[in-house]
Amino acid sequence: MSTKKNIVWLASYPKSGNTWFRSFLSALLTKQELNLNKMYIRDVFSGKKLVEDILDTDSDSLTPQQIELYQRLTFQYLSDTSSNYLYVKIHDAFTFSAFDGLPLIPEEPTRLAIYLLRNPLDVTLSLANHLGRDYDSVIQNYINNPSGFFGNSFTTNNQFSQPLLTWSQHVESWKTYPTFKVHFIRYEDLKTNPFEVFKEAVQLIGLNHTDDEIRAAIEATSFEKLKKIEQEKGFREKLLPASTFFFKGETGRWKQELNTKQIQQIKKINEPMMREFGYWD
Amino acid sequence: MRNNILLTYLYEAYRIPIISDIELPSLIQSTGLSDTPPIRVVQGVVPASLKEEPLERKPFSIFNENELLCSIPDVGRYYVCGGNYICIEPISNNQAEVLLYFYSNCLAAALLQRNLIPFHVSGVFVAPQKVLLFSASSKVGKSTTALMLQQKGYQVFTDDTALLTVKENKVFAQASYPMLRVWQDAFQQQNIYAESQKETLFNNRNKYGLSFHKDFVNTEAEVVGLAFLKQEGSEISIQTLPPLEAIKQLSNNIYRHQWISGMRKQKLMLTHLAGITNHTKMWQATRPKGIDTFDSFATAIETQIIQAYEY
Repeated sequence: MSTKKNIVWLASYPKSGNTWFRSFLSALLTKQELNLNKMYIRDVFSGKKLVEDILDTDSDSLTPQQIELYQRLTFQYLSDTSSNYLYVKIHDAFTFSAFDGLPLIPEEPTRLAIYLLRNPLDVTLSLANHLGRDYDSVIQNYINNPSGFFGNSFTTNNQFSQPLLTWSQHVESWKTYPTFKVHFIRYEDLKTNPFEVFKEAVQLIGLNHTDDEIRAAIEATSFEKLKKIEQEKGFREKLLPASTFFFKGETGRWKQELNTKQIQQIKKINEPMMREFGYWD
Repeated sequence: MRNNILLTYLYEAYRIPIISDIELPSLIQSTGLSDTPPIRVVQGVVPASLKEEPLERKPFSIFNENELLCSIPDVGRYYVCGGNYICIEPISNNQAEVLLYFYSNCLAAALLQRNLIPFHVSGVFVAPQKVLLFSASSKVGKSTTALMLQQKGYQVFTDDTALLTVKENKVFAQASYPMLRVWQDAFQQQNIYAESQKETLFNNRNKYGLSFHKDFVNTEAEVVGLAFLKQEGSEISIQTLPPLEAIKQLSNNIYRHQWISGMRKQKLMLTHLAGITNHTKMWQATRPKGIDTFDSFATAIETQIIQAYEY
């Protein structure tokens, strides 16, 4: 049974500002020049290696039921044996096990979650670049797909499968089901008002940093700087060799890129959370 | 080989004799020629705790320098002691699943208890009794690279693990046992193994075992070099690796490297890593992510490493 609550989930649908937030926190906590490929915050809930190293097992041999149980055990153990907060990236929607009905994401070791969200119309563009697919394919297979998922446990990648659901269901799952506190941050607010938004998150986590330190970390991890670091040193989390992870980073670009039919398709399926978080009008 | 008088099976793994109460089908039968002390494998009740104080407690394992107790929920319990005794207490009725943890955790623990360090490597013969090894963590493509080179005529030496030792300024490798584990997409790229030779390793999985018992060479081979595999960027590249970086990468690829500290093997590890990196060539071999480069990657290794040197 977990006794410590050390885990801070950095949760989001893919391409919603998660890497930006992790970069900021890494810069803030280490006060060192950011190395994207050796970030201070690098634990990922879906990562196979953590489970393998903690539980002394080989992930390819695990059944879906074992994977669920083993991920929970791994993060409970990490929380229990750490003397610091653990920041863990997670793209999984907040869902429940078909085997035991419990949340797939362990709640006992959780301190809180920071949930980053972004207009799904802009997410569509960024995800299409990330995956090397066209907009229609991304809408059909991810943004509007109730069975959408990331990763594939049956191929040779290094992450377990991550349930995404539709964009709206993903947001709603984190809004509705966790028994721990979830702090929502809109990507658009981070862009327009970074100091206030980052500072509030830092305070909620319980970190003690001066305004100057927060400003320095924001400056060190601006979109332009992250893009430059990727160009100079590469970024392992990039999926396709020919693409760039830090692509445009803009808000509202969907107005030029998506056609009316695509916009209507996304709005039709994702209306609840688009309305809830101010992405409807 | 079944010894009918003693009702035991006689095998070898890493050239260590294994006297077992139960069948261990992935291992090769013993030649009976080794003077190395054997590992005794029994099926029975695993002790509730270690004899000596544990030095590390993990969710499924507790261990110290000479003992390891491993409990895998719904699969089995395992006890390894002194590098020469392994007790297996099955929970699952699926013997193949129970034995997975024998081939991996139990054998690795027994080796470490004998002060032998297993590495996460695959490899192929590039000349008689000379091998090129590939090192990487799981899922980067060790087995596939070995299989693709086998397709080009290079006999497979080992898949997944081998023991490395340094003798008279040369590095030698001892293969584990003759089983390749490959994914379906890699299997489809070769024509050495037939569909009927595929052994399903795990239910509903797309990964298969390919036995090569007939071609297995169960003697030490000289290591002519070690290529660390990586998936990154957009190009295939092969570069010589500086010794310091090689030591770092090699330490990350010790099989069950997470046990080194709790088993008090840090000094042994450092001495061993320095010896290996000082006495063999090391490369970084990189292939792109998300692109099918199975064959061209093997070709690059063949032309830039195997054919570029005289062995």
